[in-house]
Amino acid sequence: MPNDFGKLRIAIALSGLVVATLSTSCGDGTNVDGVDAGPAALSDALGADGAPAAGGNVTTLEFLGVETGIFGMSEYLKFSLPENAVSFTISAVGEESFLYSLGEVIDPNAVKLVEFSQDPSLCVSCKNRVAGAEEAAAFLFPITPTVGLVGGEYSFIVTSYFLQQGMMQAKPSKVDVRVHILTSTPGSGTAKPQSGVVDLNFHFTGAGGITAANAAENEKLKLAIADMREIYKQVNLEIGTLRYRDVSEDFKAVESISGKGNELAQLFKLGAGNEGGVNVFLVTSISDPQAGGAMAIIYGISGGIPGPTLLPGTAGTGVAVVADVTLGFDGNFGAVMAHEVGHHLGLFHSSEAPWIGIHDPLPDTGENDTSNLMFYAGDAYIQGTDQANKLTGDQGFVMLNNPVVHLHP
Amino acid sequence: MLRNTTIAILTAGCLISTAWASEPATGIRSLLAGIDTVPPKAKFIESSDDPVKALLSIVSDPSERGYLRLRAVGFLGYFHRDKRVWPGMADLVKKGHPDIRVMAAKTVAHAFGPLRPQQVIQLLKPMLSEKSLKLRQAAVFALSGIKQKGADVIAGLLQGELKRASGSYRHLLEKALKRRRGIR
Repeated sequence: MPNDFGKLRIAIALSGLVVATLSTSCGDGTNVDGVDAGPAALSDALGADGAPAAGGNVTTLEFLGVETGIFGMSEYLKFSLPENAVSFTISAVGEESFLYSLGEVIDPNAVKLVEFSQDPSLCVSCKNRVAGAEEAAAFLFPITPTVGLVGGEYSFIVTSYFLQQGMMQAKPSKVDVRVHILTSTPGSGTAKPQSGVVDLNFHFTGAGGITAANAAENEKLKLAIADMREIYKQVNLEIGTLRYRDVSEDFKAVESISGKGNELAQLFKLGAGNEGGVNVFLVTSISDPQAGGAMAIIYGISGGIPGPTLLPGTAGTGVAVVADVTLGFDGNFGAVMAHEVGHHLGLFHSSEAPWIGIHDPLPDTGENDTSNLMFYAGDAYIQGTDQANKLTGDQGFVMLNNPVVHLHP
Repeated sequence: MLRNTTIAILTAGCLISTAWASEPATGIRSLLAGIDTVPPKAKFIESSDDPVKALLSIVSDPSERGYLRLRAVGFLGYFHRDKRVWPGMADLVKKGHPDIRVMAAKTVAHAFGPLRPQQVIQLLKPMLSEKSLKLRQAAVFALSGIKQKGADVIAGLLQGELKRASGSYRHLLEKALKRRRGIR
């Protein structure tokens, strides 16, 4: 099936993974219908994978080595969601050249939050929108305030598709699936997050002349972070700890973003071992040779919508942003970074390009509102206008739901 | 707050701009406007009766937003079988704004490398002698991806460069030669 959206991990145009439980796992709770994560949890309380959340706890359930079978579908995987859950993410990390998505997600009331879609790269009609991604994918619930979570047993199916020259074909694969459940702490008052903090882990390839050594004093980086703080302030999301790290100059110009051995995936894997936070990689250019002869360039890209934020070092964990001056871009990347991190936390484009003709699932984002930070077109970010950075309350809801965000108590 | 950008726009090539400047390109323009979107070829065809003309028009319009022009260069690669594209791209490789030239070099190698490798090599070879590191880097990357029958002329060119290269350029050449071995 042709992937009409291109590299969806991006936000591409819209553009954004298998068995048993944690350690002891899988075995414990397998039943006729599927695999039950049961009570086993990798971690709970503060800080799964280095993501402490003062106003919330993160619990991680693992289904390692899940096989998707001849039709590219896993059996039903199950887990129990507590009553005080704020959100949960399902992530799937598998093989190169495979796109992973969700076939079904069914809540305790038998409501299908996700249904099988014609296009596994994006299910627009799903009650809870999901976007598949290459090699490592993640899915956030709820992705809109119109989806309510209820306590009880959830079941879901992971799907896999082999990618070849722009085509997708259902094919067996093996993936590690994790469910991260964010719960509110006693006394935090509400399951709906009101405010939070996200940490940023910067990775420097030498782009823009920024290095770990000069980052703290680099005017360009300081300006970009100031822009981002200003933008995120609208939804009570603060930028917290900033961490700096140099990585290989080999990835200064990212020359491929999809397919086997693509440079973007290799770059994102350099984030392995990081502390919790969103991994940001600054580069000079991002280009991708397309099947058919075109050479696409973009100014930023997220490893998914959302990215597997609690799994540092996967092919999808991170955002890459151009930090150099190019024709028509002054190199001020704060808004582009805010846009891509927005994707990584779970935001879709508020409105896609006319050739796609869809809008995000959020009630309060106006259609074709060019002033929204997540509008698809880059005129505003690239050219720089003060009006092009709007975020709405519903967008804040999504961002704060991501378990990488530390919620305020 | 975000700042306004001062864009230094240089014309990409007089020949092209004269020929295509009048083509309206609203539909095509919307395809190029995304900062993180990659439209498929079919959408370009749906969006215009003559997508090549529209893309060339955008590339050659010095008043157009710079990043749209850059993206337009890359997406011309979809239409490499159109007779107008090769001469247009060859012109873009040779002169104009360095960023346009970089994009044209990469696109030419990707789109035309499999069809006419010798012509592409001849077109890109002079770029290896440019003073601008950015242009030399683009030429190295573009050349290293071209599949070629017979003797590996490209590897020879890159090896020659390697002998007198240093620093990051040398590093890039080593990476390109490694890539070349993977292709051959």
